[in-house]
Amino acid sequence: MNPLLFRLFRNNEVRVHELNYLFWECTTRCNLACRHCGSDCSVLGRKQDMPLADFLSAIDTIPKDHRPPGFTVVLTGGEPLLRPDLAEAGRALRARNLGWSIVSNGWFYTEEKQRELLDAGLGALTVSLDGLEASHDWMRGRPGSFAHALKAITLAARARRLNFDVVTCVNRRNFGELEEIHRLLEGLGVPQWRIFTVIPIGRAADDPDMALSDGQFTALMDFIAAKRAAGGPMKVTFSCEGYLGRYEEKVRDVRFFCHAGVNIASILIDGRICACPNIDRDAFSQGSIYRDNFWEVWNTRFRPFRDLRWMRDGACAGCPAWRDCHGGGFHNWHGTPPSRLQCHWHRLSANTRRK
Amino acid sequence: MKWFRKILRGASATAVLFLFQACYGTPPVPYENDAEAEAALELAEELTTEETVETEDESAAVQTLPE
Repeated sequence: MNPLLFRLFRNNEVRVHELNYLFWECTTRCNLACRHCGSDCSVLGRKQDMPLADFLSAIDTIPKDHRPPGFTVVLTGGEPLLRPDLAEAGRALRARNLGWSIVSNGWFYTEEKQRELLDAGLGALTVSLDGLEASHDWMRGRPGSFAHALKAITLAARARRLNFDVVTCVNRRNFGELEEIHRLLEGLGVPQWRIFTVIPIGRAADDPDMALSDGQFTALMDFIAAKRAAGGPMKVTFSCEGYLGRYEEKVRDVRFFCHAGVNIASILIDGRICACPNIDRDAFSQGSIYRDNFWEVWNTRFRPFRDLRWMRDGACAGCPAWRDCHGGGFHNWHGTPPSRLQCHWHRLSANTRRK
Repeated sequence: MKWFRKILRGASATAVLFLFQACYGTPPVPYENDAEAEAALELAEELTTEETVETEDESAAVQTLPE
């Protein structure tokens, strides 16, 4: 797409800021201990699951005529399948004319569970697969994780009514397995494989096995671009984690645009209202459902997400990529005051210069 | 501006712009589940309709069933 038209589109989206994608961090309990987890979840969870009624009260502040078709509520965690009332939550959302989906590690995704969730209107699912067996189980901190994820993927790939994809966090351990993972997923009938890299937060912050080198990152872009150019039944895409310069149209369907706080909000485990759950919640939370009217917060706050001039500092101040990058993915900004953790455009440019 | 969105959304070449997926989220839920949603909506409305319940205590004669 013409970059100029895309800039117009982006600016207009910010101005209109239609909410159509909402995360609910419905639990922080998790049966795994992933090395890259940004939520810092645990088996028991440090906080109690939010009661469904509290979440629905917040949802009900959204006027009916502000729930556009395709409005998606993503139940995330922790591991959402640990909640016993997941199907009930799903039915309550469908009754409000909202679509719903889950992000899962697949451990508890059995045939019976799939049937129960589909009957409750589950519309989309993402299952994480972080490598072949040894790499995945290492990353997920529990033997058997790979086998369970694979079983879930096999089940989901057979379900017709599900918009389904597999997501992989590429790191130094699984970097050499990309071709084999591609073959495996394509063979299972997975429609889309989404790739992302780790951001150095949570448990991943001090782990040297997590972050790719600049050379590996560039090679990852080349890998995705080659797979997309070759076509095939499974679409491969790179997530919207940052601006990629010359790779923009080679690794994604649409150019980079961080929708956090523009179209995306989240209700976190403790009731705080933010954009995506992996964004620094202490720095960027905009209110709480226990104190504020959710819809009012969406409409009247979220200024740091819609006016990004505060980001034009440090390395971003004179950056020629700013008008297409706008500071990159919001989850890359952490701390008080927030500072940028990494810049994909800079990594790719640095690697080109070295060559 | 909403008219600008309508034009972009309506054109097949630019409708894809609106199909985004958050970094750690799922693909968006397809629209075609709307018929199912309507059925669920009707059911929910039925369940929240006020029903008269006969009791001895007149002050508790009207009861609203929860969703």
